[in-house]
Amino acid sequence: MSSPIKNSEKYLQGRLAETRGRPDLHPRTIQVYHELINIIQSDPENYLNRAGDMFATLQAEQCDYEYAFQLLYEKLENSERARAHGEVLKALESATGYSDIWMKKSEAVSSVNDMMNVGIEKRNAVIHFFASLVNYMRSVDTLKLKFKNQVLENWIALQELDPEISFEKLKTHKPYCYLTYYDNARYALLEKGFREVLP
Amino acid sequence: MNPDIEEFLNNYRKQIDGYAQKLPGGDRTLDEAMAYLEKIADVGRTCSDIGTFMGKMVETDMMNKMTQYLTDLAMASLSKERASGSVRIPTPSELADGYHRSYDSIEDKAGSPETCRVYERIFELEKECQDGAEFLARLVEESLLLKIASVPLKEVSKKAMNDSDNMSLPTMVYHHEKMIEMSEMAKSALEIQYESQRLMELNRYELTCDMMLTNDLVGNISIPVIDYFFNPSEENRRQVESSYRFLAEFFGIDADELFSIPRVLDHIENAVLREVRKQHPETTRDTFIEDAKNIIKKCMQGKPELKKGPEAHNSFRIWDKRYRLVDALKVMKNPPRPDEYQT
Repeated sequence: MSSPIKNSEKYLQGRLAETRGRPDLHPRTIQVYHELINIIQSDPENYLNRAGDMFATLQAEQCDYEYAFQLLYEKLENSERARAHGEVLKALESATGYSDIWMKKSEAVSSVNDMMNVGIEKRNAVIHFFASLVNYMRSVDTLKLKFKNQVLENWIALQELDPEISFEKLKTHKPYCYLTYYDNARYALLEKGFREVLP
Repeated sequence: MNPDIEEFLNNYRKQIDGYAQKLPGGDRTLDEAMAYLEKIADVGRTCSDIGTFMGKMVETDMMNKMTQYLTDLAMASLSKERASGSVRIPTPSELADGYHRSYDSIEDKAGSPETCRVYERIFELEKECQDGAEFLARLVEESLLLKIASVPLKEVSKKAMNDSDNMSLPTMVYHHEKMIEMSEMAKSALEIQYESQRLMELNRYELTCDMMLTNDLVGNISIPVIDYFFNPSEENRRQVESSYRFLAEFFGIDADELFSIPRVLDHIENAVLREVRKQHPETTRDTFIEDAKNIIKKCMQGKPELKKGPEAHNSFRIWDKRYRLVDALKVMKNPPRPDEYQT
């Protein structure tokens, strides 16, 4: 076995070892490195030709990345962002070589850009809604009227982002209720204030 | 043409020239790539600076298109080498080129000694190794591919942790502690990317929760109090009275209890007074609290007695757990993350 081949095997073994801490994050990469190690051990003389351009490793690493984030956002109940990573994953899986993988990824990322950010917009809308509601409840006179209008505007903005929004959903949907420190008693006070505002 | 743009175009030219030496004359992709580079140069001539130029490159998708040409040329060169049986192993310098560029782009080298040491070790190996295969093997052997991701993260997190502590952001201090811990434990670059994102998402909830709590406890009473301090009108008095009554009902506390909560004291010292002291450097936490209490007392004089909410309101929830307000600072420094989000 020539020295470059020995070094290539050392490299592949090292990269495979990196995946051992969290195999759940590297399913495709593990498979590809196992295949390459198998080739280099069984047919070292022809390794360079049989391993090809190593596109499979790049594709596997990229796919593992998107898949890991798809699962993460599913767990965090950010369905739009999970779907967006799923779309990018599909684009990566359909790539056939270096010449098209970056283009396909770039196109997919552009097309899901809004989907990626909708969770952040919803979160900001929830924060603004509760801030205006508390301001309304603590105020009097002209300020109270100003904050009343803000509560209504913020509620409409929230409805546009989440057509299924309700006070009950704010209390129970994890991506919303984990943003606040309110318990049921405090939600009850806030809901009472909100009912005053509703036309 | 702007010299930065010229330099940028020269880099493309050098790469295309390199492929031109390996491919036969009249190669279609080579001709197309050269023609496309001229189109990019035309755009470059219309731009006064590199920022505008890069914006146009991205906007018009020219950068992606050029990357695709270069990738096609690289693949064509490789196929040709492979067909002739002369597949060449890259030199260490060719493989280290990207690391040199990253190293050169570090602005604060003096403030990033550990990161610089990782790069310097890579450059030592670049000189020591005979070929690219040995270079890559040594990079993996010494975990340098991992360190190039983890060490800068750790270094940045250490600095950010100190800043967060000085700004009354206990959840951020915790976040940076976890980032440092993770960067020391992670075994792969993907693990670092994934964990960084996971920790950031969890921190967003905790940071928001803490900010809403401190705002409702401190902001909503200090704003009307400050307004009254500068303009003691009846309308401003009524805002103080109303905000104080809301606070008492919502949290089941009065002013004395509010200003004895450690989270509130920390927020006043490191967030509120940070701003106030820009104009009134003599203000101490005690004088600020004393003034606030006096204004509240004055605004409540002769008014119906304060009605506090039940003692159960003297609490807050984070994730799925409830705690007493007096424990908020301690809890925000180590929030009780649900098990389901721990990996």
